Amino acid sequence: MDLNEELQQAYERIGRLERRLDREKGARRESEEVAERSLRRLYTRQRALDLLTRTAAVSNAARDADAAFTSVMQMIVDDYEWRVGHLLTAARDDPEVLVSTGIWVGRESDSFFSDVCNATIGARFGPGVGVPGRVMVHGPRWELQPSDLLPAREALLRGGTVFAFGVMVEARLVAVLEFMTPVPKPRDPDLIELATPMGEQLGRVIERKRAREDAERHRTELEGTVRERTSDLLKAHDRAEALARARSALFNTVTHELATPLHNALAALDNGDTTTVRSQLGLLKDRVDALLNVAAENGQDDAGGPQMCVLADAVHQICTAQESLGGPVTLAVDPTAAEEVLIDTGRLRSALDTVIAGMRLADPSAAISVRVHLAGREAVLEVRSSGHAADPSTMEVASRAISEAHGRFIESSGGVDLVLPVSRPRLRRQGTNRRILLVDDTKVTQQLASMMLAGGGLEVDLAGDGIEALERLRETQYGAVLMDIRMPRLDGLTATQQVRAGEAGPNSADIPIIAMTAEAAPGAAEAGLLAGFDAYLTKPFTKDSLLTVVGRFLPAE
Amino acid sequence: MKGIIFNLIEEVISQDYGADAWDDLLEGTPVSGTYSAVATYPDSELGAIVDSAAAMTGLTPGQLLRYMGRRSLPLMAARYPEFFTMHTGARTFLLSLNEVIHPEVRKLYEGAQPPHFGFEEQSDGTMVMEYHSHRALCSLAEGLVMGAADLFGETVTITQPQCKLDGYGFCTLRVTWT
Repeated sequence: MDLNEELQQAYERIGRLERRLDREKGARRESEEVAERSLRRLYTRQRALDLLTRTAAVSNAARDADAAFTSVMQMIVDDYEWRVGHLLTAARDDPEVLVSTGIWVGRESDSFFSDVCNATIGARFGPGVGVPGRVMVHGPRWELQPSDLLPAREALLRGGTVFAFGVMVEARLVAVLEFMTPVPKPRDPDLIELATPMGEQLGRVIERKRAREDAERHRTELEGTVRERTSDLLKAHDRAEALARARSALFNTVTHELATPLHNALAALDNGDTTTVRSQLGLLKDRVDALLNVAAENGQDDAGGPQMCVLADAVHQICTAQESLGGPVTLAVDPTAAEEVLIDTGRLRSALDTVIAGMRLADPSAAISVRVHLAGREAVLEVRSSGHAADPSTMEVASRAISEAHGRFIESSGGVDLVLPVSRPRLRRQGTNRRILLVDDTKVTQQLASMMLAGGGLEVDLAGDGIEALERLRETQYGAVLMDIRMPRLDGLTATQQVRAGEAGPNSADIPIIAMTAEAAPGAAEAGLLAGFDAYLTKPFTKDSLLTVVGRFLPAE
Repeated sequence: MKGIIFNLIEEVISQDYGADAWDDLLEGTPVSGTYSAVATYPDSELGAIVDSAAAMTGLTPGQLLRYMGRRSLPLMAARYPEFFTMHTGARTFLLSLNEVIHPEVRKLYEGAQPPHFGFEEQSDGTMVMEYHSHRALCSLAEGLVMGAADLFGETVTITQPQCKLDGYGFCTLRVTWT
């Protein structure tokens, strides 16, 4: 091979290597372009992610919607280089029209900023009008050379760019954020893509604010209910005490009214003065008749005594009323409790209403459940809440109402157990004969009641107090006992407890005992039921009411 | 087609036929000839290079693709060892293609469209692989499977009961370990 051929081959070799080098350079350039594209994409995605994260953080932390909007607008203006950020909201007079909120972000010293602010004063953007109006209709916008309804604004934005998006609350547009610059800006697909989630995040700030206002209103209403209920309880307490005092005074008067002619007649009888005896007995008869009339009238409208009601019905009524007040109340009544009787519906209502109100006060959305079952001669109402622990001061009111009714208020996890004494007709004691023991320290009552019972075909024995009653019961088997409450030596309540404890003999432990009382003090009826009374007869009573109550416990003639 | 495939073919040809052979091949083929691993190039360029290389080596295009696949797999294993060292045999490696290897390919090569495989393991140990791809490069896939078996010191025979080029909806590869 001569030199020329070698040279030729060397040139070819160099040419080949140069072409390979060019290909390698090309490959490197292409690699760099791919790398740059990837980096640019990574940067814009990262920036978008940052903005979304910060928007979420601001929205979650904000208590004030305007502050959240301002923060987010500031972020977009700073990070995405806009000259002006502006917030519009629905006009008060027309929700279909957007107006400026007066909230702007930008530099005061920037003439474009101040010119846009001035040009926007008083503007009203209806659906499709201007960029804000087009957001209402079409969603997020990125517009170059945007047209506007205001010539002044349009002149400022000619050759510029506007980006705007809406804030949605329950699928309704409530605000628009717009960003402006006087120069053309290439579309930023990441920012446009972010507009919808940012609008949703900001919408949640408004939703939370509304929810807080609703909760506050609900709380105020509940507090009002509790205050009202507490006041009702106190009034009822005062009323009952006043009534008890009045009845006691009336009873003393009645006793005096009857005792006087009776004593006069007895004295006249000793002297053989039959005229006076007749006139005094006539006077006595007139007074008894007058009193019986008054008693009959009172009995028809006796609102002061305990109101007996079927337990299941009472609880059902209370729960239904509560449902209409503030949401679902689940009620489960144990079958054994379905037909039992609870004393004093009013007090049950006060306690249960107050407990439920206290639970709702602590957590307005709490689901309430009430389960009723019986334990001996007590009803247990398990009241449970799915929410936070009930309001303590309300629970205190409920607890007081329950303890006045001789019940128990037991706090347990997730709620409260209300335990109340009940009368259980199906467990009613039945007398074995038609002989009655009448226990009363007042002669007038002894005589009146004896006459009425004898008129009903019943035999009657008398006892002047609890001790005598226990003695009689040990000696004789009675069909039923009529027991006064207030008596010297041993009162009716204690005597009844002792009878039930077997102190009058095992045969008398289950004898029907009917309380005769003018008591209407809070808790008196419940205390009686707990002590072992089977029924109540409120003084003054008529012959009919006496025989009806007693008859329920005696065998037929 | 991603540039990495062109790079692998270049590497095989340069190793087996010398660096000048690749230059000659490119200069005799109507292609740009500039291939960056991460960039994307028209599928037609791969077809043109395969045709030229087949003519140069005296193989059919199918044989050439099988050869390229089998030879390039060890090169891939050298470049991305972490996807191979976790396996002790070709079978589990192949089964990991859809869930492990191809997601990684998509991460590294933006816009990559790797094929999808269906697997049916039969009681005699045979594995039937369905090859789903708009490119119909089943021969390259077959070569890669052979290469995987080589890498793990196994021997396989592969038949192709059906091929997209014959009008089927997808290609199947029947892999039998011997």
